[in-house]
Amino acid sequence: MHKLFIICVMLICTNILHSQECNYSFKGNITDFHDNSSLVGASIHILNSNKFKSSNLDGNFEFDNLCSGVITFEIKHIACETKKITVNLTKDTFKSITLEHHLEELSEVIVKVDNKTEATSIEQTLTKKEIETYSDKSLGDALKSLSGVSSLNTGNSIVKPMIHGLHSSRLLIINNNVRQFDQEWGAEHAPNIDINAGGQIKVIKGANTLVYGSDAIGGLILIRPENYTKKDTLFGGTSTSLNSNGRGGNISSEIIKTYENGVYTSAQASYKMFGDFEAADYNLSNSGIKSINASARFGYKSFEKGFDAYYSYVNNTIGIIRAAHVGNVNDLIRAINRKEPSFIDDFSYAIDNPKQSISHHLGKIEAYKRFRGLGKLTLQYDFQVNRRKEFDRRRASFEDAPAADFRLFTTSIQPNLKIDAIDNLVLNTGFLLRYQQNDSAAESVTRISIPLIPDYNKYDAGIYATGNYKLNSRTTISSGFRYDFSRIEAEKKYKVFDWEENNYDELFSEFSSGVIDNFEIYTSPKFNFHNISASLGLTSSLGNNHDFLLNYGLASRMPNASELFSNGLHHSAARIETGSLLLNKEIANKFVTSIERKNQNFGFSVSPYFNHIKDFIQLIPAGEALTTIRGAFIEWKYNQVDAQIFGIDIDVNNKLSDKFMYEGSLSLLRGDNLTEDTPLINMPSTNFSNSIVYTNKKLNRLSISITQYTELKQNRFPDYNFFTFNPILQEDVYVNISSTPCAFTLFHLNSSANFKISNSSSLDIAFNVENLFNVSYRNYLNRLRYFADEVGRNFNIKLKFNY
Amino acid sequence: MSNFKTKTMKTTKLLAILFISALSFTACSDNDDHDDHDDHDHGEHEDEITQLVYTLTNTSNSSDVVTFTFTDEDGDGGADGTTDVSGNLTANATYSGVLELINLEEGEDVGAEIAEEDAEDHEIFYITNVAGLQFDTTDVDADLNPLGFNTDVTAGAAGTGILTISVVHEGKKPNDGTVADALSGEGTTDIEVAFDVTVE
Repeated sequence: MHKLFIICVMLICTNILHSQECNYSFKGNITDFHDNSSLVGASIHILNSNKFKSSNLDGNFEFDNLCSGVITFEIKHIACETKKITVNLTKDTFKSITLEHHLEELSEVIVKVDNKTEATSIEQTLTKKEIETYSDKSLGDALKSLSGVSSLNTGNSIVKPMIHGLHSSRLLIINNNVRQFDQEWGAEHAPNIDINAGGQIKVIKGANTLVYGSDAIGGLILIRPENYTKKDTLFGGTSTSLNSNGRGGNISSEIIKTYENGVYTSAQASYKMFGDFEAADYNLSNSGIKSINASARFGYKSFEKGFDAYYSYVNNTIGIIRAAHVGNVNDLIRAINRKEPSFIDDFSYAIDNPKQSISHHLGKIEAYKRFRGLGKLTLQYDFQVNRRKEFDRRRASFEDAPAADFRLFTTSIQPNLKIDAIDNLVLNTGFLLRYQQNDSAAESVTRISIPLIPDYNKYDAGIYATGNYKLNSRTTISSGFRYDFSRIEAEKKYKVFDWEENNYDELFSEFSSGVIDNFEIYTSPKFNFHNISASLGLTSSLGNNHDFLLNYGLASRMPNASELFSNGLHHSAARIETGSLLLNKEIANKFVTSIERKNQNFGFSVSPYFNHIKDFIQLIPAGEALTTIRGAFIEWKYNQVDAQIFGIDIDVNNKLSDKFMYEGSLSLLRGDNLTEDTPLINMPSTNFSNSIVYTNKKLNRLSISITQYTELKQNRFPDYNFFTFNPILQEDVYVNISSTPCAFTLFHLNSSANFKISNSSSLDIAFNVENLFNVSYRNYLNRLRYFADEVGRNFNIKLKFNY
Repeated sequence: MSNFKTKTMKTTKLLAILFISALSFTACSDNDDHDDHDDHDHGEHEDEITQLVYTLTNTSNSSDVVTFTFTDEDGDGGADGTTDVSGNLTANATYSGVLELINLEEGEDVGAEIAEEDAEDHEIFYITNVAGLQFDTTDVDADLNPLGFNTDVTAGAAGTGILTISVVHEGKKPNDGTVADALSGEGTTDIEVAFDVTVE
């Protein structure tokens, strides 16, 4: 396929030689860098002269009667980089010149508003502007605004994103091209990512982006940095947000320096602080959050080579409402039956136990080089250190010692070769080597208790190849294949009783050291997993802005450390969670299709999906209470069933008039446990939203919108309720842990305007009201739904100063 | 005017840089604290209570001793705890009761530690459905609120039922004498064990 090439070549000729002879010729041949084809119609100009030439059909051009001396050529193209070459002309000279005319397609140097991760991927995007409206919230809150994305919460500050009902290890979060590892196995562990550090966030619904891993059973979340243009400039922004609810907010600042030669550097930092949040009717005591984040970037980019170094630090201290700490199952029943939390105190900024304190370091360096007639070779090295401490309510003298304390170190190296020299075909291939080490502080709880997650070493190696082929101007197909090998080597203590009760002494005798000390046996479980994944995709343009996309993905996921080894007590729900060494890998087959119309006046996307997961690992109540000296606890066990999840996501936008716009979305989902013929636990219920947006571009870009959001009651849930003996009441009581809360509808008001201060600076002002009618409600997908309502009304003011 | 604006811009940019570096420094110093290896291996650990012994001695017959024992040697998880009652209480007798909370591994009397250091945050309740069997707490904490390690027990007519011993942590003090009231605030159950009890 040959496009119209507009190539501007400028030659700068500086004559400094004294005895000038002006009868030399300079011949050149201009070819395309990436596929060696001749470039036609390039105009060539010698600077400081009126000499212009253009290249012929073979890419050749010729200047005659040039004088000797040093000549600098400058080559320019509307869609490509300016190229300068300098020649010392002392005789007739020939030179090959390469230019790149596919920059736009390669989306490397040119900043594009929206370039898809892969041509065929079914994805949704949050732009920088949209992210900014969530500057004082979490990643999960922002993603929840997309159809098909929900969240699994622990209170209101710990928000785990969920795509099509799946979360934790089934979602890959790719932060600045680095796969985030921050103890994501835990349902109450939210991603440690500062939302203000990202330039763009994408959600890919499907397992079709194999470059990042083979286990994206639910999908991918890509957090991408901003792409800077190559010019000499210094710019940035400082934003602040103030909220009535929680009496806090954040301040975030970013400054970026770019140079015309391709060098860029940026720094960003944010600080967030909230005290106790308020539900509609009461204070959520100990629900505050403090967060400090910083990131820096330095790099150089040109068409042929470049590098990028990035480092980020995130530190969160998150309070968990005090009423959510219960001593045993009877405390839990009391909490469930009570309409309000058992403990409500006056507003405070203090964060007491129970709380989580997490720090996350992420560093990476990436370098690339392009090879003529081949493509781009990228090499990336990264590391992450995640330190998580969880504090429980304990006897006063132990309040400062964490009940759980993990340090996870991850490092990986990933070379990737992108071959784009062949017409209409882009191939990506590479491999990954990763090492991970978890260090659990064994003594943090009590001498005879065992850390929730053991110390382990994990080794991963993966190899992949993906391809995109453009069949014709309307249709692109893609496919990919990936193989991963993983080995996990753990050092774990088991209670001898548990080891024997689960038959591990016979099944896994090779793991046992035989050493028994104080009711505990020392073991070293080691497992190998081989994962295979594949993808197929198709995108076809149907004309009139309509697109059709179809994705199939095969993904497999090895059980994570929690599913294999978990063993311990969670006070937040009076539960003991037990992993199993018998778990196999999960294998998912997911189909997603989408019919889309991208248009400002009337657009829509209708996206049905079906996901079948063999050996789906779920954590469910085992239906009985375990007796300890503290009383009874509910044992939650990991088991495997065959599952299917299917549903549809619908988005619509319609321009009602010059200034009014309608947006709506609907997500329907159904999850089935096929093995036991019951619904799956923790599946999002039907939800839909409608909003009317008024915008007036002439009046300071004023925008006012009102949004309605409704979540229906989840009527499809597995019933794991049971009776247990309450020794205080001395009678059997009903443990209602499965029932779901009622439906709710919220209204939000958003408004914003932009004021120009000078040519290069402006001020954005926004005023928002969340939960306008102060509705009190509870959410099925909140682990603390037994204890307290969700957050009530909030007035919010945001100021952003752009300079 | 434009000159003034340029100046303001420069100042703001400078302020932004200062703010970012200030935060980064805070972040770094924090980070040192977090990655300190010493702090990772916590020397201190809590002694889990693995045994509860409630000993009742007849005030008029010191050889009439009944003990209620709950033992869970391997702690939370693992094997279930077991209860043991050494015998029956005598009808119409009075007993003095003493509760011990023990960490078997260290042979430590955790109850004594609590009574000494943390009494205000704890209260022990004795609940039974045997008519006429009554438990009265005789010891108090520093605020003169009931504690419950020491009790006077009065047995009435013969009967059988359940005796529940409950230790409430950070509960409401003083309260109306019921577990429900003690737990109505931020209190949580630290211990909750039930025994079969017979008065004959």
